[in-house]
Amino acid sequence: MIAHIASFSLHKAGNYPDENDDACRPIGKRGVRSDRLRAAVSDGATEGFQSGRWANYLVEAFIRSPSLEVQRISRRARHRWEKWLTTYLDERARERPIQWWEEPALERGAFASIIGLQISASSNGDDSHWNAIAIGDSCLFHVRGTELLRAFPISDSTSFTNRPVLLPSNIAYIQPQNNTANYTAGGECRADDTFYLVTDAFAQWILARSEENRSPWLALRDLDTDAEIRQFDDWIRDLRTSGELRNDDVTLVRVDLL
Amino acid sequence: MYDAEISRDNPSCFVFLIDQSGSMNDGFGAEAGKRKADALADAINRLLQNLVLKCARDEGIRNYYHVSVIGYGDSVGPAFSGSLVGKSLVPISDIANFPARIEERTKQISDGAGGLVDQQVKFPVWFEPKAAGGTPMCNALGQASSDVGSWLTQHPTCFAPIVINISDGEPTDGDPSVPADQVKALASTDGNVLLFNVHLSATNAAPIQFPDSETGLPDDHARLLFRMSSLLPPHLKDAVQQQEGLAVSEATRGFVFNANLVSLIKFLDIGTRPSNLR
Repeated sequence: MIAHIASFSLHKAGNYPDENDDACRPIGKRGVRSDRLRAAVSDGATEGFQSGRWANYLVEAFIRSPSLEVQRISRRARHRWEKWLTTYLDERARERPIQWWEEPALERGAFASIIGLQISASSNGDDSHWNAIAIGDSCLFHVRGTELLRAFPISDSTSFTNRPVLLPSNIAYIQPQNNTANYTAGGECRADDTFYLVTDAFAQWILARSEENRSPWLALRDLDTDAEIRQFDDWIRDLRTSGELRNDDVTLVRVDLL
Repeated sequence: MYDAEISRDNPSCFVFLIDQSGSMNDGFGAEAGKRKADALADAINRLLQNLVLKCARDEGIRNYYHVSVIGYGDSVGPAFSGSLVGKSLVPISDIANFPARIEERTKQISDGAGGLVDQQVKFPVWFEPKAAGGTPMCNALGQASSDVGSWLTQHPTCFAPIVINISDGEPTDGDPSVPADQVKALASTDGNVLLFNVHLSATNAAPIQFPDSETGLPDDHARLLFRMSSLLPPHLKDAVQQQEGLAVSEATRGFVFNANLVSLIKFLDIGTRPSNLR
């Protein structure tokens, strides 16, 4: 299986680039020739403590985990978080005492969504198989030509809420839905199919466009190619200025199967 | 309207007007043995704490809000203690960094096995209880009008400022609807200043929360406060409906009459809920 992967991300208007709480893997552009590839996007909740760091640990855990089980992936990410937190608290104790207003945030930790995709080549040269896991409102779109074959886990632009279920860095905040709900999907895919992994604000815009039969897929497919009309950052800024897109961190990973 | 993004570049403000008249020495409804002044001071300190926490980010406190607490009783003016004394419209980062003192209080939390255990928590204090003199609500509303008016010249595109007036009785310095109208006539490009009113009860009468008409209000003072209160903007109406399960309509106002401690805290929580923090 040969694929090309490209990722794009832009922080909220008015914030600094290092305040972007989204994370993705891979980062940048790369060609892949492999029997198996993985890609992931995570959106750290603004109100959390070090949410961007937690989002990064989650996508990294997804890429490296032997299994696609959400519990195992989040346990792997939590392990890394706890090691980092111990070091951080030691440093703070030496250099700058924790302030009263930091204590509740430290105790609560961070929260983030994740959408993770794995594509496995078939051994006999037939169609490949894809599997995805999702917690929260970051989305996957499976597109063939200009046809949306699957939107997961949200398939309707009106279904985005302000309170999605998220993965916590502190195990005490695991919501019951984290354990019981089935957040997996999968199916067949083939050469020339494209997958998009997208954080919520842009995912909602993409779905709304698709529902209005104003296909967003060609513009998305052409991003960062010779056919590109507008660069990703300019496009997102224009959509924010026109009020079509909520001002939020935006991250997109595109996987083109060749 | 009422949807401007609140950011470090475009902050909003809250002004709390706190009745400190002599009658605040009286008991607070069913809260046996608790003075209204003490319960209100706790509620305001907890509210300030929650506002700080909403603005806490990895790098520190983001100045999404500036905050005034104006007391009215034997005098009218800024009511912070400690190093913020005499200051109004204080950036929220200064509020975070300069409480007058930090108390250790005991909170009971679940032990995970059906029981409760005591936990020590930090309780920062910026505002001390006080109860003396009359109820110069008109003067306090005038001061709010002046402070918020100056703020708006500096921040003309901010999310509309919110003024919350908390009192247990009728004003002793005239008809408050005139200065209340002056407060509500101030506006940013996002909308007119919102004025909400809380009436604290000395009895066990059931609170009347977020009413949408004067029908059912017990007296002229309640009706006056109802008319002085702004209509709830959409995001707060949604909060009232979804979190409190109360019916709302286009005419629902930011007002509670005969508030007990629970309804006061809920009202402050809803009234200070951000619409759109960047």
